[in-house]
Amino acid sequence: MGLVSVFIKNLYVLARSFWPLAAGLALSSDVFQYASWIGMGVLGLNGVAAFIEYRFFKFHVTHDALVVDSGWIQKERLVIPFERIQAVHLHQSAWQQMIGLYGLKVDTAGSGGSELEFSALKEEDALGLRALLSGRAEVIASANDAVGSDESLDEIKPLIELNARKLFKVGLTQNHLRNGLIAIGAFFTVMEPLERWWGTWLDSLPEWMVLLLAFAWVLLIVPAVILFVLLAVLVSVVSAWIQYFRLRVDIQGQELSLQSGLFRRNEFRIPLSKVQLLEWKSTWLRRKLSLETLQIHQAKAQAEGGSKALGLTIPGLEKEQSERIVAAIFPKWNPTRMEAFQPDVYLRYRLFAIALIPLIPLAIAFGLTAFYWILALTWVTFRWFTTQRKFNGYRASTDGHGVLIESGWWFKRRTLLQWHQLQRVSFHQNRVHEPRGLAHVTLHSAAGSRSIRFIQVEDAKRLVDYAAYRMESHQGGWM
Amino acid sequence: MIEEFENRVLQTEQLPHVLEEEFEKLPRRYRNIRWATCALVALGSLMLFAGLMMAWSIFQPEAFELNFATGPAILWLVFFGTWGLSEWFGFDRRGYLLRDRDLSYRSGWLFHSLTVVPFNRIQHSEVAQGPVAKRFRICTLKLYTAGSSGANLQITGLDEETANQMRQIIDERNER
Repeated sequence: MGLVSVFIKNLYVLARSFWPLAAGLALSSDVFQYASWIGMGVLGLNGVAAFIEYRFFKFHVTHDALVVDSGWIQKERLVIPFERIQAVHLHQSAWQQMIGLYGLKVDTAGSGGSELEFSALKEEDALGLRALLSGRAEVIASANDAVGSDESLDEIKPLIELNARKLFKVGLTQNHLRNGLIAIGAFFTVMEPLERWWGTWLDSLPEWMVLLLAFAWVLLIVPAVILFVLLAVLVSVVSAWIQYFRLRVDIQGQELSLQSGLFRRNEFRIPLSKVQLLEWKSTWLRRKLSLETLQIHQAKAQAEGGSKALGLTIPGLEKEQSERIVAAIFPKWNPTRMEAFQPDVYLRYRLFAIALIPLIPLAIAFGLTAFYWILALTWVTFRWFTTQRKFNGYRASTDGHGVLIESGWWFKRRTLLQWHQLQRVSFHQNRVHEPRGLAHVTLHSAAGSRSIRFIQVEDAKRLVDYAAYRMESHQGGWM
Repeated sequence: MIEEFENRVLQTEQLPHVLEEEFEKLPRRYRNIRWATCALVALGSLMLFAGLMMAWSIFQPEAFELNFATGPAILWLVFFGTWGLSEWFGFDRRGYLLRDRDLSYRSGWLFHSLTVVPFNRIQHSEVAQGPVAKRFRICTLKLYTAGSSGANLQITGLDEETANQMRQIIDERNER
């Protein structure tokens, strides 16, 4: 079964990477007549590759590390010390569910995501290995919980559970513009290799219809916009459904676990002590429904540098659930006793000035006509209002243990870090800030950097001193 | 009498203030290297531009106009003027501070910044030296912490001896 699993996985990767090329070649009659031979050749080569991969993939566990040997001609040995393992995730895609196997991913602080993936493990092996790698060797014997059919979890009331209604709300409040554009991009990607088919269809249209389309396209703008909005909302709801179907979050002992997915069931487990940063994001609509999305970040890989922090996302979170997660992950965080740092009003005028920049190209495009002045006046009024709201959204506050950085108006973001987990701290100032007595402070954590901007220079200096003190005086681990 | 209202949670008065400390300056020969680099790039770009203009005047004399050089010449002056000013005023702002538990580095004239890296967060350190730097006996100390790419603190222009001493101190403090 393991061999079958590797074969299907490789075939899937191959199909995903080369399908536009394959679709284009399939339409060429010269190539199409050899399709069966080409197909058999690809399947045969994939079979051989899968056999080699499966045959030469071996792993064992020493007292302090996981050792994996792989490769036939070029042999490779990967040693992952247990202390470097950040999280171990189980997943089961549709085809793995059919043949009763599990995939297991190991995230480490030294990789840009998943450093190692086992694609075909039996249920007991997958659960046992996860327990061992998660530092829970003592519970291997009792590890009878499985993805999606977890008896022990079923008895516990979950911290968060997305029912159909809430899942619909999550889908409805996603970024539709982005999803709509992705859908259009995907549509054109699919259409491009099939150009010969739809090109032939277009050629077969009667001439009067082509003329009608050429002259009446303006009338199609409104229906096209409506269609785009409907398509975008549909894509958002469907993608939320696929990604977060039967989402369940629990805190068990010192771990946070998350299960979700329609076709591919994922189970993530993160040790609470390894969380570096919590970030809540919400849109105006999502806030109206009292929901937020929480991203939980672990240490980022040094090699990757920026984009890929390890972590997981919990959508559709209510305030009380958020507070329970914070209490479990950052137990010392006390929002009742806070010192706040607000940006100087200079930021407000800067935001407004930047917001007026689009008026310059518009003036060039339309000239200084009456239409332009009406447009400009409307824009200035609108942006005066929105930049004020945006400015009011900036704030940083600390209780001495953690620091909460807030920003945004329509898209709001809140980030919570702990002082003692920081890696370094920076102070920034430029020639414009200096006479105004302003500065930025950047807090660099292992999960990324966040800045507190345009604060008074004295406050910035205090924050730098305090960050250094907390990092240097902390006894014990930070990751 | 009403006391002045205070809302301070962070008690930082007793802490050492890193921004008020006296920073160690970098050696003067590093300043000379920076000036030489600036001058070479300025001269090279000027010669390249002059060469292109000459080629234009030779091969297409009917289309050649000297006025076309005005825009690039202004850009050249602004760019290298700013570079020169930042070298002139910015060099003395560069400096490092080695305290008992951390290393700080500050730099910049138009945009000044200061970064503090505690020793107990350093994953590894490196002393790098290119052929030109070797000729002038200077090197770069690079410190790496968790969570981002490349060196997180890079001090260029240190004496070889100072850099190695600093690295040794960092290693010793990290082992404590």
